[in-house]
Amino acid sequence: MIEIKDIGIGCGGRQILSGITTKFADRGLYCIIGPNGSGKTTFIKAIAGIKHYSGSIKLNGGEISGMEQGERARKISYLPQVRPVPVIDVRTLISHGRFPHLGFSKTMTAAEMEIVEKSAEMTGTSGLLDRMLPELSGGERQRVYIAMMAAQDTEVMLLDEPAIYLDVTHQVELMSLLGGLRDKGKCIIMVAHDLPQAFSCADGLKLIAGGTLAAEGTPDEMCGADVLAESFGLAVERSGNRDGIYSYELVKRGGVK
Amino acid sequence: MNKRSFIAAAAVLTAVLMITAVCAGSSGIGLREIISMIGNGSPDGKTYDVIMYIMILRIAGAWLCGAALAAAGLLLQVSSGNVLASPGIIGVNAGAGFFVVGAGVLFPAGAIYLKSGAAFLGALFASFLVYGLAKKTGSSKTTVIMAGVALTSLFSAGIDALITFFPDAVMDRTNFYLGGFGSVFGTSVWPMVPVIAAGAVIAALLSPRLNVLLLGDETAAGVGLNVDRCRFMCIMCAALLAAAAVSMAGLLGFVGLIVPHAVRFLVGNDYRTLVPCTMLGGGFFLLACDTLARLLFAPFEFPVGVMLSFLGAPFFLWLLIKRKRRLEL
Repeated sequence: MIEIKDIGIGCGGRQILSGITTKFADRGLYCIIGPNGSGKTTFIKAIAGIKHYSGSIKLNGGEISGMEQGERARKISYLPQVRPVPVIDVRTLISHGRFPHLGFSKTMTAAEMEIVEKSAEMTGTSGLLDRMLPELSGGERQRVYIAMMAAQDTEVMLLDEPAIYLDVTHQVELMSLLGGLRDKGKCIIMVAHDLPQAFSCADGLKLIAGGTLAAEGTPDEMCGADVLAESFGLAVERSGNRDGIYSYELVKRGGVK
Repeated sequence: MNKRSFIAAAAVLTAVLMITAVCAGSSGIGLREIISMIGNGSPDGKTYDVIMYIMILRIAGAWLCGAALAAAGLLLQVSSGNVLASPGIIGVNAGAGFFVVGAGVLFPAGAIYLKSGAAFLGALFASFLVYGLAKKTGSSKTTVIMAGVALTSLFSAGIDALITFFPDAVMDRTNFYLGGFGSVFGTSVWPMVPVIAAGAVIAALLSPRLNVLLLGDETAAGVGLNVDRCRFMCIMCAALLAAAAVSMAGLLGFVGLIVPHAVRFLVGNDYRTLVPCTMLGGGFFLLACDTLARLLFAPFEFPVGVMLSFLGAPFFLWLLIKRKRRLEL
């Protein structure tokens, strides 16, 4: 369980986040939502331990900022939104997920390679193992990075807008992949932009607006919240369409059913 | 090309090259003489002296410098994330050179260790200055090169100024500028063997971490790499290697830029393979250039720095065109 108590984060003299107190359960798929520039990325970077914060973020009682890098990476994995595309093959990429589990010489044993193969299987990327990363499509690339996180085998997985730049088919595929990992007992925390998608897939939502936690709750609790309308200028409602991919839809603010 | 065939090819070619280097040129020693010398086991005579005190020294010096500069270039490229980084371009060599000349001015009778120590300080000073500047301005990838080019010209101006005022600060001026092995001494080569060996060990230990660094800072931190420490170690190690080379052979450019890319084209992007292969490739390349530089216009010697460019640049362009690839890390 992650317990966050009154955290604040500043950057270059400007306060980005302040006074956030919340919790994440051991198992669940959480979406962080909020307008552009509200501090969502900063928030998950703090949980990932790569952004300094005031206050306290505890994972099962251990303070994140007090953990040694390797120890933290055995418990929390993090996928940033923007990253370079190195010229390496997919097998190598996925095996980097084992990095925090290896000793000083960082030698991959046969057992470690087996974990890599299993992670590829789990994420449906076995066929890509010998391909080079730059050759892959955006959707494939996102999957192999998630395979890397699966190989890292952490209890918490943090993802910064993993669905961005993907077409709708791949977005749906990605969300079901993450849902599957949640069912295996992971705590997945992702930044999401697509509100109907976030509402339909998440177990819990955290709305960050104006540098603070404006609202949180289950999708059903959240869709009626006024603060959602204040933040986005629109509302989210349960969709009436049974064949819809997503069970929520965007409606105009104050729209009538 | 895989790691084993590259290493085997480099080892065989280097051995052939070393024998050629001993036999050919103005030394006038034939293969038969070497064999008979080894057969007799008699450590005397002119042949023995020439081989022991001149040829081996020169061959070792050239090979070590090539290996050290190529490895330094590889480390600087991956730690700055820039394909253009190399000790010659980002001012590490010039910084080391400036400190060497400075030490020559301040302590004309100073020991060789002083020169090497000054080279290391200069290389370290220049590399951290460049990285500091790049980090302070925020954007690191292009700025690191621009800052390096500016620093190189500043240090070069410093070297020129010192040599103008104190012409005796450097023993062989042309050799120092262009880089060369015409005037290497045992006292300047042998102490560098443990230094370069230490650099090679550090680079080898860093190599699995460099593979992770390729993923980008944030992803690398996500899988548990201490990015700042890894980068710091990279710079220290590169400075150590570049300084060892500069204190032996002066300002040799180009090896550190071209060899890592050429080897990357040949063996791929795994740093555990790249580190040893780059060192072997760099050693072979510089030794080949030095030998050719000696032989081509014998008994006159052609500057090896010039030879480097004549041989290396076309080979590199050929690799670029043949592979139809952009430079990538």
